[in-house]
Amino acid sequence: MKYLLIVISILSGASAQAPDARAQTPDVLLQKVRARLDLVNDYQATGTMKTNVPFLKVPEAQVTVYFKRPDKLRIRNDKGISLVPRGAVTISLNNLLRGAYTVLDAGTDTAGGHKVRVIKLLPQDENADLVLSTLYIDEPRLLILKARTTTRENGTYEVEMSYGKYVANALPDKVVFTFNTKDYKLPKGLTFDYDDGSKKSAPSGPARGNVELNYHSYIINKGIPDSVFL
Amino acid sequence: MILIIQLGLKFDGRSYLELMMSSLSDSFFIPYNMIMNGYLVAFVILNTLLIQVPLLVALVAGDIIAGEANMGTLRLLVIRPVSRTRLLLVKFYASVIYTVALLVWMALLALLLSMLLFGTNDMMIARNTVMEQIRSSDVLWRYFAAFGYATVALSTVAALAFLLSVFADNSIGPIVSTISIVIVLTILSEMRIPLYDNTVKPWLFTSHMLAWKGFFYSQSDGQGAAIPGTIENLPAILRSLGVLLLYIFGFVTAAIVSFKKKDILS
Repeated sequence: MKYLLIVISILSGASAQAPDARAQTPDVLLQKVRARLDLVNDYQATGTMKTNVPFLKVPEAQVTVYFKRPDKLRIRNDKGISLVPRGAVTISLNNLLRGAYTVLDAGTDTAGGHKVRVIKLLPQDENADLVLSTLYIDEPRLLILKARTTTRENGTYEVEMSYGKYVANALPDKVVFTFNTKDYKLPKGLTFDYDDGSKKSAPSGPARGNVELNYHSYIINKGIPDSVFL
Repeated sequence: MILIIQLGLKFDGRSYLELMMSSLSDSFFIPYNMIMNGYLVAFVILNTLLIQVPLLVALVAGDIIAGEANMGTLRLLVIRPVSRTRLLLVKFYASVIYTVALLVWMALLALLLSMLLFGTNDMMIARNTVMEQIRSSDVLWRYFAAFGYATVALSTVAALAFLLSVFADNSIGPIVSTISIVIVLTILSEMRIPLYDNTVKPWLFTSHMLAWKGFFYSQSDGQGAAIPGTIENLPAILRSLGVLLLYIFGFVTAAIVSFKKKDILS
């Protein structure tokens, strides 16, 4: 009887604590994630950028990414030209989480092989460019693994992150930024292309493209002058 | 002409780039000031000189025999103890040397001067359905290859003008005829007429004169990224080169055969 009471009390205690641990409200979860991201004031990251867009043929680039709170971000290619997609500021999650939102719980899902909590952010400012943002959060590690953002002007962006060496700072080793692109076509009379006789299928209509950033190293919270972002 | 284009692009190159990249600017931040560099300016200049340079070549090659006939010195030349074949070959070599000198001058003006005026950076090329980017360290060898190819392409024009020059006693005729042929065939090459695409176009020498651009098209990996140091379709460029060499051989041979049979009266 004594053992039975102990077992019942343990089980009842566990069941009483479980809802707090598992199902914290989306607001609380978002606050915790924000607090974690806010530990990074600025960073300078070096890495490679690979652009995969149907109508762009560009080589892999060595880039440096600069971030400074609250919302400054710059991707710089010191050895050449890099075309940076509009909306790429959202690759820094700090930028994404700025502002006041109504937070909604959207259940659970999987992302990057992890079970994640899905929460949706609706901006409280009706004139905001952002319409809806969906975050896929690895709850135990307080990491955002995926974010899908819909804007008024530039369609829908998706950011997927993989973490490794810098997980303690909630900074990803790899970011894949997916975005909408418009159709690209120039008249042949303008470009005077050489027709080599091979059959080429031109991408038609709006398509999706992505930019893959693989970070090699970060310098965190060492200060970055504002002149870098001009 | 080259200086006029350089001046225009120096002061309003951004407008030109905005036209070429208008559909990209909706999706990307475009660093116009970096894209407008010496390599791109030289590429733009070479594109716009499609008609002018053949004209300059035809002016000399069309005059090289007919000019002698017009001045009455051709008869004096052929009575020298040199075979007519050798005489014509030397005359043709002179046309080719002029063509090479013209291209070297163009390379200095269009490429070197543009590099000095605009600086260098990666090169962006707007194609019909694709925008290509070439690293700055990967550009110069492509220009050398393109200028080498252009020598052969313009030598074809020289050979045509040379052939027509054999039949005339006045240099105006071969020059105008050469330019007319080049313009008409270029229009045919560039027009999208399905009937001609696979039947006539592959055999027009003007269709192959643009193959110098092929040196600026890179291969891509499975994910669409450009592979530095590669050429998208080298066999096609070599095939085009072969066609042009055949044309040169044909035009020069026809000129020699005709000249050997010709009764020189002037």
